[in-house]
Amino acid sequence: MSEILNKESVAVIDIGSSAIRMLIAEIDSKGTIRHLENLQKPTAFGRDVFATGHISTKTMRQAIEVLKNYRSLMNDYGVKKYQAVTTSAVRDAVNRDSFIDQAFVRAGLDVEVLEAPEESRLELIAVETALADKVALDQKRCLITEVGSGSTEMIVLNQGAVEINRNFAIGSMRLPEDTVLGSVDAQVLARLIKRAVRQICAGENRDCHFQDLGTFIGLGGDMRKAAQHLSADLSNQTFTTLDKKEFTSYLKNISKKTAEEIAKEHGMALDEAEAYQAALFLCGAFLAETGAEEIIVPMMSIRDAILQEMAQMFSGYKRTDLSKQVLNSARHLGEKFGYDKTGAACVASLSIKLFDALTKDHGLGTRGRLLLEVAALLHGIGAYVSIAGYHKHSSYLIQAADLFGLRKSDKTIVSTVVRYHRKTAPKSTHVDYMSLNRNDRAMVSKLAAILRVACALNESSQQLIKNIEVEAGEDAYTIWVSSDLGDLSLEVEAVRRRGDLFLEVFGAPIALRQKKL
Amino acid sequence: MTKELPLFERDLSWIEFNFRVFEEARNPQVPLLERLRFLGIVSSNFDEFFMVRVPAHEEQPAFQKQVYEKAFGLMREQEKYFREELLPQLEAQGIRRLALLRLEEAQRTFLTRYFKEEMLPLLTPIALTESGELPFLTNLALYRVFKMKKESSGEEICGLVELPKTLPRMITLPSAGNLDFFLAEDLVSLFARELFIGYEIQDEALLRIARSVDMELDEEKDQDFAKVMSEALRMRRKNTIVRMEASGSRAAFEIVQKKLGLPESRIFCAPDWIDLKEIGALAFRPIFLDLKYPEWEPVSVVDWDDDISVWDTLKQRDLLVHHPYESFDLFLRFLKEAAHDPDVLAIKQTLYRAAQSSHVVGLLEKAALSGKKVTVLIELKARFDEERNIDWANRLIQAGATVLYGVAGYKTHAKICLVVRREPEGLKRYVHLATGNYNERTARIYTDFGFFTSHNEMTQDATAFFNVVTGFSQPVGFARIDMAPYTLRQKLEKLIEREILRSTPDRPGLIILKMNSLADPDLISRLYRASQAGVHIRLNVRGICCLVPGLKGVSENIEVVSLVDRFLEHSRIFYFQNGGHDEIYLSSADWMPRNLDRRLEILFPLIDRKLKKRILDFLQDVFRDNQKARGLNSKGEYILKQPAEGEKPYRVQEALCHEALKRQKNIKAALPEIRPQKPKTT
Repeated sequence: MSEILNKESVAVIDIGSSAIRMLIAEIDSKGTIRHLENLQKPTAFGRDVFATGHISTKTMRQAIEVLKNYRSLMNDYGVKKYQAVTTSAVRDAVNRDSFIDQAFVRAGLDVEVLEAPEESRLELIAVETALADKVALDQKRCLITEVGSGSTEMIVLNQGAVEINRNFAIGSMRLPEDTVLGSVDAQVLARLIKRAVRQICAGENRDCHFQDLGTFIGLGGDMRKAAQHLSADLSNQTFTTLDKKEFTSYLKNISKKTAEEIAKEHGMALDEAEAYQAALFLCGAFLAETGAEEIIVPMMSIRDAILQEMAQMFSGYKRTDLSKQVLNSARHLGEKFGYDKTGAACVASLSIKLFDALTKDHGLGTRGRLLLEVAALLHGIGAYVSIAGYHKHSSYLIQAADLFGLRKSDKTIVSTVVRYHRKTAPKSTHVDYMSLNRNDRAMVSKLAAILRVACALNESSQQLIKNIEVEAGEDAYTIWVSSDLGDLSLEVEAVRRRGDLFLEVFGAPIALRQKKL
Repeated sequence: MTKELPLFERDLSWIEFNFRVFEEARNPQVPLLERLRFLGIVSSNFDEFFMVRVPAHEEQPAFQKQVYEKAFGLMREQEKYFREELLPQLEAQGIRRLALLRLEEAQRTFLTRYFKEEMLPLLTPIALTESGELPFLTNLALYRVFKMKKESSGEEICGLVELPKTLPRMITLPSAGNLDFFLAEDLVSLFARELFIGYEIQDEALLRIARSVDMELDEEKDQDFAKVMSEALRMRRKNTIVRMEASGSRAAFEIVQKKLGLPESRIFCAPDWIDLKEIGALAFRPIFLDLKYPEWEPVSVVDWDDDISVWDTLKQRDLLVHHPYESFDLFLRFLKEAAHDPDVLAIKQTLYRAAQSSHVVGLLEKAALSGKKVTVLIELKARFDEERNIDWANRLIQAGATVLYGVAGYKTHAKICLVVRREPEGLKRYVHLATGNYNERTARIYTDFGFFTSHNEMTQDATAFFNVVTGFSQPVGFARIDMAPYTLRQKLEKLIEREILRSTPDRPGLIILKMNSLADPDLISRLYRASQAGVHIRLNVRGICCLVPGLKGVSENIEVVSLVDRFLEHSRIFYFQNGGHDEIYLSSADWMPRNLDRRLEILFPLIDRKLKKRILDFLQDVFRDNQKARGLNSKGEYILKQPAEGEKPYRVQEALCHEALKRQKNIKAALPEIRPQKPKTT
């Protein structure tokens, strides 16, 4: 019986634009996942929100009923750990908070709104899990797209590193302007979509030449359906590869058909078939922009990715760590604004060393560490706009940019840390800072204090200081560096001056000293 | 396409099936009481046919007329045969309908007492004048009608008495050695003067009406299906009368006919007997055993060790049970172990038609009472079984089970039972899938397959099935099982198309199908195409078959055989040769539009090679039958098969009974060693 204790039933609920889905699975201490239940119920969130911006009472009531059913099934399995997330439609709804409240009060489910970057992160986990060891992503330039009902995610991976990460408000149910599903001929629709996608890619052209992307990965339910339709038996396979020619001829084929015909042929409901058509056109349009000759379709969804994370947490064995992708994406942003690459890397490295040395004093975890590193990498990008008040420029640039894997609150933290890395300290009159919760505000102060010191250590911009030792005394902190480094009076003075926030936050002054190390 | 498609009309094909049943009733090789039983089946079939099918042709009067004529033709033959042939033979064996004059004194006394004490209190004699309003006539009840003259005034009126449904129509009389019976309608006649005092009886007749039962329920409106169903049953009272059976004097029932405004074409006049259903039921009584087939006692499943738990066995292998050759007890044991096992968390099951005092319902009740999560999907729209169905629902709800009444608009016809069990290796699921209902009684007389497995994908699919029927989910993620009305039809289409593609002149494709009814025009047209592509198609279709076999250039590679024997052929098996990688599917569905498009049905593959072989052997044996099988020709005639030159008579149902007994004797000794790998968890 003891083995039973090492297993747990968990659930993932995904509240999407066209369907509410749930996976119940059993995970064990080795991180193995066994699916027990797989459910799906249609919902009109997308139809409501993309047309009116609002979830109608009827749709909300139906969705709550579905969630109540799911909850009861979770109870049957004794599920305690679950993650309920919602994406595009609910995310964009004016009354999303009422829905989330209703879900909690009436179905007993705590629903989390997944932001686009978080979605991207999960998508990448899905891709990495599905292709694990079988496709060497670190040797390719590839485009990953996931066409959802209300939005399309795009990730450009260069030699395994995230370069670009975008989210567009176009999806299988949210079409280019003036197009309404079912109102235009499929071939016209395909053309409109192609034009829209071309514009999107042209907009990114400065950062990336799409034709250089030799690998195309298509995520999403509709791509999986297409793969199932075009491939032989896919059971037990985590991904499949479709030939570009075969796929485009299939696209051509379905563009000649009405949604009714597709529905009948594929055993779908009519609106499902309409969305299927649109989603594949979108995918096909992205594919056409790249130089890829085949499409890799991972047979995994973000639900699987969440499950994967839960299993990793349960087993304590972490296979997919995407923090390096967050940093890659930050570096790519830095390059876009012509940042001082080596300087930024040096400050980032020093920040992390300080952070690690001060673990006991700041009490922050891996999230804080990652955000500090991102802030350190990007603290100088505002110089692109103007050197005067560059910290403020850096701050708003970060706020506006797409950074892989960071949710809105994460980005606000990074942007405020950068904002406070010089000059004024946080104040209760600063709106962005005050929009954070108390814990996050405390984090901002601590990280900004550390970043200030790290910047001071590179005051000369010569990257003289690379290794440090931090000594925490009774009433003062000392940073020891090697006496071999020669004259560091600039840095010593800078640390004294810019240690102001440090003193305030950590309650003791910090000084730079040299000794024989 | 359908218009040019050569098809036998489905209702005429159905009447044709009843001709085959009637042929069995006339077969002198068949024991006397079994013949009587077949006659009863024909009667009961026609009751249902008139109520459900005939009203559908209201818009095509010419065709409807044809249906009436054909059906009445068969009923006439049936009555004549019963009266002239069977009755004298029954009498010779001591089963006698006694007329008044043949009664002995003791029998008279008995009848007088019976009438006064048992029957009279239940009778409501009604006097019907020319201008009076006709009382409501109950569906399928027998009425005695009299033409009478008021002795005082000479006024002619009609007397009407409904025979109580709660009393038997055949009243068994005290008798030495014989089975003497008196009919309830005769008893009412005998005492008519006491019912209508002051009247002179001039003529009399017996009547029975059938009403259409085409139910259209607005399921969206009312959430409480049970209430809707009770309502529906009451509503049925007002439905149109589709048939009136009458025997006796026309003068006696003329006034009723006039008041009902019933056209002559809907009246079936028999010289003597109407409604042989209840007479046929005599064959079910445990008497005159020598006039019946020897009682068949299904054998317990032989390659099964009683000392090992169901779960441990199913973890090792799948199991196939062939009813009625093998007993239904194994399923009851499966359910019983589930009900009592503390590690079982949940049981989910469909119930379409359960037996009157059902062990299945009892066990589910027990499981629910012991705190397991029991979900039962009860089909309340199973034709004519509604009253009983509502009763189960209430019993189960009281025990704490979740009772669902199916998906609005679709009948649940699939037969699935799913058990979820907590085991050291994690949650484990076991499933029983079947071609026949969870009914202990019919499992003794219908041929069906039951299949047990713990195969992960199959159990996963069974779980998904329940999520669909409970309304928790759309159909998603089915790996092995196909479900109507979602993917089952497409799957069959694909299987036929694949067989066409795989078929070559050197190695022609082969499709063998066994089912109860084949009436789907689209699938039939695909079978025609397959035949034209050289695929050999062997069909064993017991009942309705709209496919026309043996048409040159259309269906010359198709052979159709119908098997009508003592057990009702009920299993649905679909075999596809698939270029040597043969596939066998079992299903709850017939190939009819209603099954594929308007019912929740399942189709599941057999994976185990041994089991596949067993089914294939069986399919081949079914076609070897040359005693009870009839081949269908392109003209729509069913010709009884005869042993060919040098061929031995072979009757598949009999052979399977022998085989089952033999297996029970032999294999018991050589039982395969199955021991659990892990200790049982309790």
